Amino acid sequence: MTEVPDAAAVAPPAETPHRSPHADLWGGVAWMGLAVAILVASIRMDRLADQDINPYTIPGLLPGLLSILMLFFGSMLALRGLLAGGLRQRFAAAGREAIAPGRTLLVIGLCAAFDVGLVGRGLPFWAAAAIFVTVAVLALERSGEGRIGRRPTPAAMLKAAVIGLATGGAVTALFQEVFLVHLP
Amino acid sequence: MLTGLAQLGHAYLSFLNPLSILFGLGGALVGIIVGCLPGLSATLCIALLTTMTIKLPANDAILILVCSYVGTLYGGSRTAILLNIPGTAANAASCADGHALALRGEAGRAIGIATSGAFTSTLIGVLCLAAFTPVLGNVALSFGSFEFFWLALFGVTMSGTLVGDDPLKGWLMGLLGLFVAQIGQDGLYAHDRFTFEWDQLSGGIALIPALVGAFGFAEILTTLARPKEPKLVELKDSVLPRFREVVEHWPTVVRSGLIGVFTGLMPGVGEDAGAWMSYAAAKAVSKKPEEFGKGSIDGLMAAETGDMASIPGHIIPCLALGIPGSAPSAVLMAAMILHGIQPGPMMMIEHPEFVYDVVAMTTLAMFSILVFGLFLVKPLLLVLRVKRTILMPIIFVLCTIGAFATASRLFDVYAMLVIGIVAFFLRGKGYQMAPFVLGLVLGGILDKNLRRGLVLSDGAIEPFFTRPISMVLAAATIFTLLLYVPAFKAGLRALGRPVRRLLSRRPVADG
Amino acid sequence: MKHLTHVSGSAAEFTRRAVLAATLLAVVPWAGGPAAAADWKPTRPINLIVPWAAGGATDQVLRVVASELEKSLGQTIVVINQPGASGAIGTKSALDAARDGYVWTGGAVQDLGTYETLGSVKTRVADWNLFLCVANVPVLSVPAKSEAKSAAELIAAMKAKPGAVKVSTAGLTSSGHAAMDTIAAAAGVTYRHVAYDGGNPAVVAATAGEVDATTQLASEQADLIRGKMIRPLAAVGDKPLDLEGFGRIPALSDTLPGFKAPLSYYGIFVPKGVPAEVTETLTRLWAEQIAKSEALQAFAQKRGALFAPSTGEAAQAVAFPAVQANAWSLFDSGKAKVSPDTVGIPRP
Repeated sequence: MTEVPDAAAVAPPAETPHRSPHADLWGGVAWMGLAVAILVASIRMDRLADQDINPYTIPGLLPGLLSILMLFFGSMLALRGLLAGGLRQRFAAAGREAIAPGRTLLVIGLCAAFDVGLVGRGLPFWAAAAIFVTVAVLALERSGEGRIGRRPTPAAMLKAAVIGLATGGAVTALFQEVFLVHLP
Repeated sequence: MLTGLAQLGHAYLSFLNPLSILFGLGGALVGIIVGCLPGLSATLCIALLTTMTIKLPANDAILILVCSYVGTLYGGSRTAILLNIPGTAANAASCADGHALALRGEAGRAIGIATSGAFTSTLIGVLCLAAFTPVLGNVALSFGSFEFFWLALFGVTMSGTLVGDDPLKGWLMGLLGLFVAQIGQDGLYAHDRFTFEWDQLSGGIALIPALVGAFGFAEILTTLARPKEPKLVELKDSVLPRFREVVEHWPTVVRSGLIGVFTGLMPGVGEDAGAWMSYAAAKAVSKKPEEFGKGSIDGLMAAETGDMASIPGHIIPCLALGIPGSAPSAVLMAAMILHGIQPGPMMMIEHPEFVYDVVAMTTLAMFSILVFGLFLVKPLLLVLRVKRTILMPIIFVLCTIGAFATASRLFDVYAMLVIGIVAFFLRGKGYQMAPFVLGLVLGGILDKNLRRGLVLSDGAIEPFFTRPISMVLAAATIFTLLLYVPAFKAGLRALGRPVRRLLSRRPVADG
Repeated sequence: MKHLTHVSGSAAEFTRRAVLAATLLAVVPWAGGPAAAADWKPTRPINLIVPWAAGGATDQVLRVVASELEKSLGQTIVVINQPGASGAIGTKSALDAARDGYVWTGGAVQDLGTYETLGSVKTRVADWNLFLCVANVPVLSVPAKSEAKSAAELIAAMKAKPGAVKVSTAGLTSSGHAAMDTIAAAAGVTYRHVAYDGGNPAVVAATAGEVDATTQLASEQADLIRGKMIRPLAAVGDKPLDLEGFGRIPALSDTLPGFKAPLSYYGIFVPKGVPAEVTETLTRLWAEQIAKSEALQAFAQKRGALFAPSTGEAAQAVAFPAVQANAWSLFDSGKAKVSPDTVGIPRP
């Protein structure tokens, strides 16, 4: 079944290689690093002594406790990876579901460009949404299987533009006029 | 008691007119549509409808709001089952099993389970609402700072075991969520924590943008990152609710319904907690816990029953004490005040009929979702038949609006973006997002109640263990953690074996 | 009116005159107001940013005002709850929005006045057009099963055990905390401050007996007082408070002679710099509609608040004493970063 990766995204069955000792070891080390950073920040956090607050209620109390727990669980993870030979098996994670790195970057780039570059920059929301959807539909169609590098036909471009404009118009009308949501 | 029954009967009769039924159906339909759209929360839906229905008579307006509240949570299950994106926070627990069922070609069956689970649990909730609201006075009041601390900690401890097979990663994600909840001004002294002098960050990371990022945007990335176009989940089988399955799974339904109502009673513990707690309880007692997350009927039934039953649960403290149990019920309460009905202890003296009106409204909402569950499933699903390269950019536009809509802050949109990207990579490494979200929800409760408890006890930690409810919650938390220590588990099994043998009177296979 | 714009004489005199002027304005409905102003007809929905969570004291009163204004403006007012950072985030976004009259905010004036001393938002009360509608009074209350039967008994208990009596408020910047600090200073006692997430949770904690007393607003306690779940000892101020369905709550000045506490005013704030017809239309609506609004009067009566509509200079004057008291109390406790002196708030 080709659909197995979808299920894996939500609840990985035990047999999928998420328990790679290598990933456990270095993931654990990363968690420990984060925990130490939080712990240092919590200890150095203002105790608000000049406000004469109860010393049990310093703002850094809970973050500090959390970081200690995170350090503990992170070291458990690292230890589990180390004991399972995480230092030797470098490429145990191979065989995971195929992810196209180029396409991932393309999607992240498109979405970030929309939210950071187009939304809330003075452009009306319907226009921003229309541009984003048009460009995204065209770019994703092109990067699809067997179509990489192929120039989009005028028909495909027209179709994308229609979808984009329809989305921008319908979404803006629905939210701004019917639901009265304030749009960026 | 007799006057109560008479008032209840009167309330039911007063809603049996075409206009009220139309309002109820309309409210539920709007709710279901908003619930289907990822990132649009029940809170948002009720808040928008409040401003839209302000000109209507009080009973009609509140009826529409109650129906839309029930509708959003029910509608959210559709998206969870067919797209693997929870429509509202409460449906996150339905994703795993609901979507797995859909991938097996049993999407209709899953929707049918959601419909029948929603109907039955609302029924359980309505019964509790009618029975308990008038007598409820002190259950919520016996929960003080110490109890809330344990409740939050217990919730996070459970998060480690809820989804997936790796409790260590679950707890780490739960801790990460708790930590992210600490970012921004702290709840006691408004002191900026981890904000790096950035004023936007001092408002903290809001739940809705985080949720839209972790579940919405990350899902868009996961779907689009794979070059192959996966088969869209087809709805081949009948969506007719199978009440026979409710009858077969009656212990799950009753247990989850009661857990849902109970978690609903707790202020600040949302519908999502009701779903997760029932799900965890169902997994704990199940004979086939390994099926959970892979299309377990029991799991889906528990999740959908738990979240729907918590709605009447939330309304109970709202009406009886004037303390809303969740964000949507807080807006619902504000709407009641706008219409001149002040919820609170005086309600049973001033407007005793209103409690029964709300019972009748919830009942009408229950039948409304049944109507749509039976007759309007397929038209509502047309949106899912579009190709993903077209659908996903449109959904991303909705995610952007969803992140922005509740507070109108661009910062929330950026938070959604960053959390989505981080969530996408963590998911690739086998980390689950549900514990993270639970940590984010419970982080504020944990922090404030720990420190407030320490002020109250003047630094002593005994009250955290000696107060009766604290003691129970502390024991439950420690027991849950100890279950993952091999020696303790082995000891427990050795103890349990003779007991189980006695109970079952047949040989038990050692496991 | 001119004598109100500059401070003459003592602060008490200033307050007295301001209250007098506000009362006059309320009684004589805007006799010399800009009646012939150009009418503002909003063409799209107005956004009202509530810088606190839905369902709280601020949200409740602003929603009633919004629904009253909708009727006369003929346009929808969309309430946007933008909570966080003690109201600073919502206030800042209203301040940063285009000055076209379509973005308002609202809440307690004393919060608005303290953001600059707290170092969170650079804004002063004078930067805003205030449209006030109700004033809230803090009430000193104890759990129904408490041994303290009067304010005197509670204060005696605080004297007997310094720092042991637990008092709940909605947090450091809340009017409840300001009220308790004023009481402690006037009576010469110390107490243990327990901060909660908002007014309602603080009151519920007192109801449940988790704390020994609370000084939150009457509007947040009204229902629990009527339901006999909490016992009011005194209205924090020099006037008794009449609460519908309960009766009269004595003034704290009966117990502590000479005790005074400024009232906390609530209303809608529109940044200065919006088109003149917006403020003129709103001022007129305030005189013609809000001052006679039955819904608001009923709301105030039910919630134990004072119905006190005012606009313009009168609103600035009437609300300022609470700003002064709150800003200086925060500065003296070490919470405020900037001295109120330097941002135009003289010591009361």
